Amino acid sequence: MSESKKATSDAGQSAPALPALNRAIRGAFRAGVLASFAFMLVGLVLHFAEGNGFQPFSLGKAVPWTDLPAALAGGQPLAILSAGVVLLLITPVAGLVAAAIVLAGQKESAMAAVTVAVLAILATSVALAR
Amino acid sequence: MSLFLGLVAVAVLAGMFGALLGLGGGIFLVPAMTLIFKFPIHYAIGTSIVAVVATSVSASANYIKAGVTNIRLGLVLETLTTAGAIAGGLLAASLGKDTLSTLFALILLYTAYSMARRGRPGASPAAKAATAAATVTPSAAVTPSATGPARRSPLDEALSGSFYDPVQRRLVSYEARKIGAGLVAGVFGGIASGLLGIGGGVIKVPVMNLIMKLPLKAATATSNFMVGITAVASAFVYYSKGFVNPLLAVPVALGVFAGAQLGTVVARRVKTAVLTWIFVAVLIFTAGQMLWNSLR
Repeated sequence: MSESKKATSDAGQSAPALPALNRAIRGAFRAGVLASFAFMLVGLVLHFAEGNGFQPFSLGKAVPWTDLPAALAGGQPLAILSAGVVLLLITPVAGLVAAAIVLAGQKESAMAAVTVAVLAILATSVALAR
Repeated sequence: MSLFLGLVAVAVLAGMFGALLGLGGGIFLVPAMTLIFKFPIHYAIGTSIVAVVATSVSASANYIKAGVTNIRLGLVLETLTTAGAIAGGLLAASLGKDTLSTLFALILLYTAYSMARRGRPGASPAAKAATAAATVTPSAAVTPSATGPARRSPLDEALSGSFYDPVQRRLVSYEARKIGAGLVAGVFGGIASGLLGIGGGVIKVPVMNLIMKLPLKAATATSNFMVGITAVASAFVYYSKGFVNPLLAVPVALGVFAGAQLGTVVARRVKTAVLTWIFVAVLIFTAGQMLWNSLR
């Protein structure tokens, strides 16, 4: 909102350039999606390449958080798939962190505090899930 | 392999409609996975929650690029929505699901009625006034409200918004009204998400559009941004309890992503009236589904 630079549209009207807050969140979302989907695709290819069929209820149990690093180091397809899911789940959190940083940098202390409050509530849900 | 391809096809459709309507797609996925594929409901909800996040982040990236999302408003509303999602998860164990589902279905039907009344041709002046707050201005600057020189608090200033609408070829400026009502609705949206494995957009979009007076496209985009954050609150719980099955969640997430890309491209070229009627149909479908499940 603070940025007034304009880009020309096809209709001759002007559309606002993308503010830093939008760019930061979009960047976090795109990076998260790309990383998680890369893990998912590699995991799927390895799963089927090893001759495993699509039997989700006999082969698809998620790797627990705590076991994920060791399972990933072993190159297990299910661990790679699980890591893709986990990366996807933390992507909105990464967007919030990016938003908090930008808002704090722009001296929007009230909005930065609101963003940190949302992050704190999400942290509560993680604590309750354990 | 046919099961895998069928699952991906359903996910693509769910992602497209989810992105079009500001929903996470869970409303379509959970019934499809339980009724068509006969998956256990807990795994269907766990998969749906992951899909909701995939839909939200992929569609949001596009909406944010287009400048339609009101990020500050979304963050403010998300404080109580996320808390509601946690409360929903806790309430799910102690309240009768059938009672909640029946009440919820009645609210959805009322919302569908309100939106249909406003969207029909020749709607009454009172009904059309519901959209008057969305002021369309040819200038690039955010202009004062059309309602006159009312005093605006710093919060009102911070939560106002504008976006370029390629259909109207104009900059649409608006002020968010009744933030308190939006916060209260956010709690219920969050509870619905925690209880049912949906994003809660089915509540957020009509409240932001009808009560807070956001243009439907801004309400849809802002809801899309919010539902992913809301869903994460309960997704961690479902993952920890083992109800997120990677072999189900991954093809569904990839399919939903592809569908969401398609949906956001279509959404920018669809007129608001069309979106309204699609949303009304979704509300009636969801209400019928919930009533059927609670009364049978």
